[in-house]
Amino acid sequence: MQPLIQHVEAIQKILQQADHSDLSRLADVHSRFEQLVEITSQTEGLHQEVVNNVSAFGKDARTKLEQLILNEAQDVNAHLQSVHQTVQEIRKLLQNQQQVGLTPAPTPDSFEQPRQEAARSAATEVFPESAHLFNPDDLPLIAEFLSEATGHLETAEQEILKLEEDPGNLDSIGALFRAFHTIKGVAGFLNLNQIQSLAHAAENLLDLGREGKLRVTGSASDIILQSIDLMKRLLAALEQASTHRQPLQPQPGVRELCQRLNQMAEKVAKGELIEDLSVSTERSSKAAGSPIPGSNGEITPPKSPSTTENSVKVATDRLDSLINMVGELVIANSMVAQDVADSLNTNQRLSQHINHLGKIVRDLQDLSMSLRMIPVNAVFRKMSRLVRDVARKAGKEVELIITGADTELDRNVVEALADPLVHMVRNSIDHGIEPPDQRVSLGKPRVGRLELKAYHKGGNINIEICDDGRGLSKEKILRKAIQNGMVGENQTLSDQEIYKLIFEPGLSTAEKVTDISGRGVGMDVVRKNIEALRGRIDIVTEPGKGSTFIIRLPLTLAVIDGLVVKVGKNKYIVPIISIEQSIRPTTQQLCTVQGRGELLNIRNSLIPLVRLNRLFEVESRTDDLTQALVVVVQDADRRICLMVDELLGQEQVVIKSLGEDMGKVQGISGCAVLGDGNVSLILDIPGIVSLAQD
Amino acid sequence: MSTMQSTQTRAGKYLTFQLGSEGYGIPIGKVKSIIGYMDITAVPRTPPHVRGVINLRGQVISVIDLRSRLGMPTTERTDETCIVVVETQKGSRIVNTGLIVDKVSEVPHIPEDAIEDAPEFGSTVETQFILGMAKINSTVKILLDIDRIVRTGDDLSSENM
Repeated sequence: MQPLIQHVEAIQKILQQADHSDLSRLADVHSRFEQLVEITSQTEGLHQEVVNNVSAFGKDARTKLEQLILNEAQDVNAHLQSVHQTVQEIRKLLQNQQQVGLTPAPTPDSFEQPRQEAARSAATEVFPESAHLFNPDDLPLIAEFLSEATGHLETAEQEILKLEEDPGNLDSIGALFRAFHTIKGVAGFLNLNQIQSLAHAAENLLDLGREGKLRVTGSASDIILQSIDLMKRLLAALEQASTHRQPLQPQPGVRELCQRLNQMAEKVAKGELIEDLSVSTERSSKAAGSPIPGSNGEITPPKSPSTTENSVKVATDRLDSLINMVGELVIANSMVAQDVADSLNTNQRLSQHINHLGKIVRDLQDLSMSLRMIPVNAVFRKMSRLVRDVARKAGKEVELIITGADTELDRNVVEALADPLVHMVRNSIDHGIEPPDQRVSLGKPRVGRLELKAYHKGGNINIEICDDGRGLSKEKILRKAIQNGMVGENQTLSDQEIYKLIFEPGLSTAEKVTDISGRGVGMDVVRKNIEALRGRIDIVTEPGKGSTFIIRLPLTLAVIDGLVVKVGKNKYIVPIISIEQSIRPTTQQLCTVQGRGELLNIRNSLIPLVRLNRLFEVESRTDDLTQALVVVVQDADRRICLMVDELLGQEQVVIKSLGEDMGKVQGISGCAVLGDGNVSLILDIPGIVSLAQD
Repeated sequence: MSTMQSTQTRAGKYLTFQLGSEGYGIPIGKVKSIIGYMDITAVPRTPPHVRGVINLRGQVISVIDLRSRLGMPTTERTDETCIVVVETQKGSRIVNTGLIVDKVSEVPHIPEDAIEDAPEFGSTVETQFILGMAKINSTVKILLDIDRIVRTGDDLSSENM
């Protein structure tokens, strides 16, 4: 019996490493199946039924493998998966045999086996850090566990930060406890030993909190935060291993942290630690910069009752294809409506119905767009933890104030916003806010203020990061820029231009390079990320009073307001956000430079003229400027005039990429399907501005 | 086990189509659909054989003029002109691309023994896109390596940059 199971396990192992194009491994598995059937039939004491089953399974698997090898399988992955399942079935079959002892004449082997099994499981308990191979059946469960556990950890982090402000909050302690408790339960079920033991230890400590014996602040909250961090690493490792079907490697540090958690729990249980904790509470909450309301252990009611929303999790690609389909529906609908409007014998009822349908379709589109929106809180929440950690590291005292966390943004924008925000928040604390003593001597409150705000403004979302620190120093930035050769000695720059220099690569004014910031990478990445989201970033700063970074973002990545313009037969979309004005120019306004470069004099400013037909090498209706129209567009401080034949009107369009294999085309940022079902290109204004300058 | 083959054969079903008087074929497995000619939106600053983009049921795909890709003169379009949408692999993603052909013919099975390697023409004829030459009932079909046609130069737009 034992050699049989070993044989099956070997097959399983090889299969796990093989993919459908790995012919030599597949062939190996194929011949091993043959051997398996042979060994089964020769093993004494096996039930005839089992032998028959194994041989049937083996045959099935071999047929599938042959198809795979000969490339005859329709869906190779499904095929391979079903081979996996077959092996699993065989293994179960054999294991049932030996555990239940169905064999009519038990051989010495099958007596041996249960003991070995027991020994093995004992071994895993003693050495919980041994590598762990997944059962393929568990993979979907693991994926679910990963997403749930990540959610639980986020909640836990949130609750711990609440507890720092309000240490006696039993609701928060309860929520923390439940987070670890749930993780422990599922991890145990899935045999994830490290995660289970860590969650168990943390849960034990938190249980004392629930009983009121421990206040989760200071060193206790530190150790819980460490547990959360380590747990995140464990989950990351688990995700890595399960997606690549590799054995799960144990992560270092789990045992040590568990021991520390247990020691603390023991001390608390003996009543040794309470005194010490309240002292460190005082210190730590000061360091984190939050005022401590009723810190003498009174239980203050929770500030905001946690609201649970009823929601369904949906895979994003399904959501995206739904939105795509609705987009198509809108187009199809408008084409039908157009046909009806064009037809000569107008049918009153029909056009009424078409109108009604149109309204429903538009509502549906609005709704489908809103599906992608999530509150910006998702990323702000992460910042509170960051502020706490960075402030501690840098020896600053910082109070974080968040407003407008309910403001909704496109999911992709919120996700892409996380990195830039991290950089900017770090910078504000590290460079902006002064050390506490310095603040006091400057007559400022000891605790620095950092504000994160989100609000709607003019069809955009603004996000502000505002600190009351020392502000940007013009002189320092300029000196550094000249030093690095980014600016000439005698160049005169406006204040805004100087401040914008901090977004250039390689400029950091931090006098000492810390591990938090100051290496001069970061702010240029911040700007790049924001611009990739079609947003912009501005700086308002006053020396000694603080600085504010304002990020302006479009509501969604998927839709823009565009002006449809026509050049010859071609329609292009100009994003409204970059349009300044449009005019019909006169010959007097045109002047040329050296016979080639053309400029238009619009209200006393000279703006370069770009003839779209020449730039894109297409035919236009006219080459005569006075017969054409120009659209004045701007990118940052540069402006150009785009000459087009006519303006067709404003339209809200859904942005699509320019086909997978088209790559990046200079001057074009994407395309959209217009109401007539045709594709129209969206102009990339910054790209055209730089094209025009070359 | 003995039937295991190490190299992929060229035998199989092919979609055949005409470019002028010449017959061509591409493996049917690569063909996603055949659609009638429709208005194509030109994309500036792309190589001449890239005719532009179209809206294929909500997805925007690029369209290549196969004649000009193979260095043949382009012609006026007729009622029979159509766009063959092919699927190719780019990294881990599947990319759809449209190919303009004069007219599609049929889908024959071509056995291995009917396929010869492309002859050498020296430098006068570009043979890098040719998979082989197939003889079907006294006609010759030129079998094309569709991945190379679509993929050469990686991004379509970057070729003449």
